[in-house]
Amino acid sequence: MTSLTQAPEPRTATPPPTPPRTGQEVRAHRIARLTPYGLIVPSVIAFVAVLGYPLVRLAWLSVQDFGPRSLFTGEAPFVGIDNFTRVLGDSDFWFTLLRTLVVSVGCVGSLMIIGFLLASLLRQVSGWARVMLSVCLVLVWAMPMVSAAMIWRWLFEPQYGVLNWVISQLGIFGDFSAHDWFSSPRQALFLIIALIVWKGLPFVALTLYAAMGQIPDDLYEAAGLDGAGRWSMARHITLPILGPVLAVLVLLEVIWSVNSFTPFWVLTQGGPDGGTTTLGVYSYLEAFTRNDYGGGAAIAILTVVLLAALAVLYVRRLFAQGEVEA
Amino acid sequence: MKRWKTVGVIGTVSAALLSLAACGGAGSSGSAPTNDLTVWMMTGGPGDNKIIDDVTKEFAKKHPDVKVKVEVQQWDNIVTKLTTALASDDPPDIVEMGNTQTPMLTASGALAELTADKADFESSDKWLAGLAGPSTFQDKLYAAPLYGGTKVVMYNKKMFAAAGIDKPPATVDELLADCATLQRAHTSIPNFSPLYMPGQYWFAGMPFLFGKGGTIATESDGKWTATMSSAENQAGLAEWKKFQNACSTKSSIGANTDSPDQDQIFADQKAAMIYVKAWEAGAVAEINPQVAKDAGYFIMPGYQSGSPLPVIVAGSTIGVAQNSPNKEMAVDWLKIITGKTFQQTMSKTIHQLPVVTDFLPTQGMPEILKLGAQAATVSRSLPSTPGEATLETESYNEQFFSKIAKGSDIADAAQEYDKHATEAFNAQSGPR
Repeated sequence: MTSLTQAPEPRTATPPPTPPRTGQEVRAHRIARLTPYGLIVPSVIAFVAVLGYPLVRLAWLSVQDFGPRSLFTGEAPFVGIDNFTRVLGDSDFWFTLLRTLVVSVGCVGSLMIIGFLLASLLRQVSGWARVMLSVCLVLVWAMPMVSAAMIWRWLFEPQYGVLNWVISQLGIFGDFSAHDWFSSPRQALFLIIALIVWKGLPFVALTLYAAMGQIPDDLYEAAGLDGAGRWSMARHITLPILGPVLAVLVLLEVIWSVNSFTPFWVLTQGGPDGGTTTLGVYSYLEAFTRNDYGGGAAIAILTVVLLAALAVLYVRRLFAQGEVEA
Repeated sequence: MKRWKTVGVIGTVSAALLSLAACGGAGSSGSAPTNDLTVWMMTGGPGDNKIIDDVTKEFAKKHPDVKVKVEVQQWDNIVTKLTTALASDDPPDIVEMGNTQTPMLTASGALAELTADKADFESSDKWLAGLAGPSTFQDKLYAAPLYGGTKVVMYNKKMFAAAGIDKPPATVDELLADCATLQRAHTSIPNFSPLYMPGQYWFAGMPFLFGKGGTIATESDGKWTATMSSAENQAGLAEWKKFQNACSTKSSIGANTDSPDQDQIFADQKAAMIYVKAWEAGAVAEINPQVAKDAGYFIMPGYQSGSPLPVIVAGSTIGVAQNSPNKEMAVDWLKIITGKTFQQTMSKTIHQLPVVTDFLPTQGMPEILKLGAQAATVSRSLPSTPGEATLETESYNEQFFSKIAKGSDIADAAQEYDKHATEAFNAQSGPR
């Protein structure tokens, strides 16, 4: 649908003879060729500085036996793939991986569905309602995750939590005033997913809303004349046109939810009994509470590899389906 | 011409970015002494109170040009914060840490050796064993004890009177009976706890094991073995579950002392008793002065009358950063804060135990301090290994005691504890 790059012109077998150039022309041509590279140099440098170095350092750390003493002596023996075999041989890692996948599917699924509905709502409501809704969304987006997670914790605190009180007042579920959500891994995970979805919705909703603005109205008009209902318009017009945007959003949200750390750490620290530990928390626990920085780095590397593999597979599938044209 | 300009701009920006990146990598370790002394102290300790100015004033007599900056830190994840801060080129000069966290920092080489200075510390030969032990690593001293802390039960005298109870319980059984009586007398209060006891409060849980004769781990030839599965410990765990379930509201099983805040619950009179550290009386007074005024204290009773449950030796130690350029000055500061004059002021004001029993004020001792000192006479230490700090940082004990209170099978849970804790106690990551 959207053409990301122009297809190159077909080449003829024998190029037409080029007229001889003056020295100035040659130089101008070379500059023209080099300009694009010059333009990306700053961002490449920035990438290497802020992402490249930490990644290389992380990779190096993951093949070292790096304990607390190494921080002060600088000595950390090379151990090859020992850290990786140890992590992969631990059943905790596999449980954590499975839990991370479940959480990510829950987060991304809810985000995309609710985000799409919110974006559609934004398109349909009157001007002032749209402004109000957008302001609310931006405020949610602007709130730091740590503050949001702290407030979440207070809202659901046994005895003093406001939301527990509200649920009790509704009278449907019985007395919730002393309910402790965080003592059960399932309920705790539910609250964490709810927090991630709530916090992530503005980005999805506003991006989709902006993308929907690009769809020409006549398409809907024409479909309306042909007798298409709201559902078929969404299915046959909106969703296909939004395809590339949805694809990018899904990819980003998967990466963000797999790497999510703050809500888990503030709300449960991976507990009770490891029941809410995802890959990010697991890596942190290994590195900073067990003080095995090499092991923690190995888990982080495995997460990066996993996400990269997922991203490559996903993008290739998109190309194969023709969602994004090359 | 225009193009040349563009290339020029790009070149300049790139060069600027490159030089910025280069800046990030360059760090210098300043080994020359400075005129600043940064001290990290913890909440609940003397650094968190204005009495710390006494130390600074005394210090200024010898070092008038030095500016001392005391920064108060939170206990949450403090080991991680300390390890990373102390490893940096510009660490805090002096750090306070929990006594069970101290072995992690002494073993890693984060702290400067103080063995040669030990004799200059006032009465250092009589330091409390539970604090001096963790400060020593391979017979060398790396920290000084700062204060000791034990916990006692704070109770609401009016609620006791309303339930017809005229004296604090003398045994665990009496305590359980009192819990039942208090519960009956206060049915009108929603979610009332006779003794509010968060399930994660392992400092309160461990004494039930100690009372049955249990120990957490044994060491032989430098190898640790966790012994949670011993018959004594399993009996203690069963007592803990019975006590927690009988005396505290159901919502407390998965909670720790801070969420919800147990002092708030006591101040709101939703509980007739709580198990407190010395500073918590002040926290209750801030929320509800009247409740704090009506409060009494008693030592957590034992299984037999006259022998209370042995408590965990808790408290803080204080050390000097190995990377600090101001080690000599820092040691001078340490001598003042661990000296008798300040230690007496400290125990009178914030009711923590002084590092030497002889430092206890002879008169005008508040009840909470007197009982605390008495409770500390029957105490047990936690394993003095870096692994104990690991268990604490990952909240392993919290989750274990909460799990027991929730009703997990004791034998299975204890076995799992032994496996995990033995591994943590013997963990040897990195070169030694």
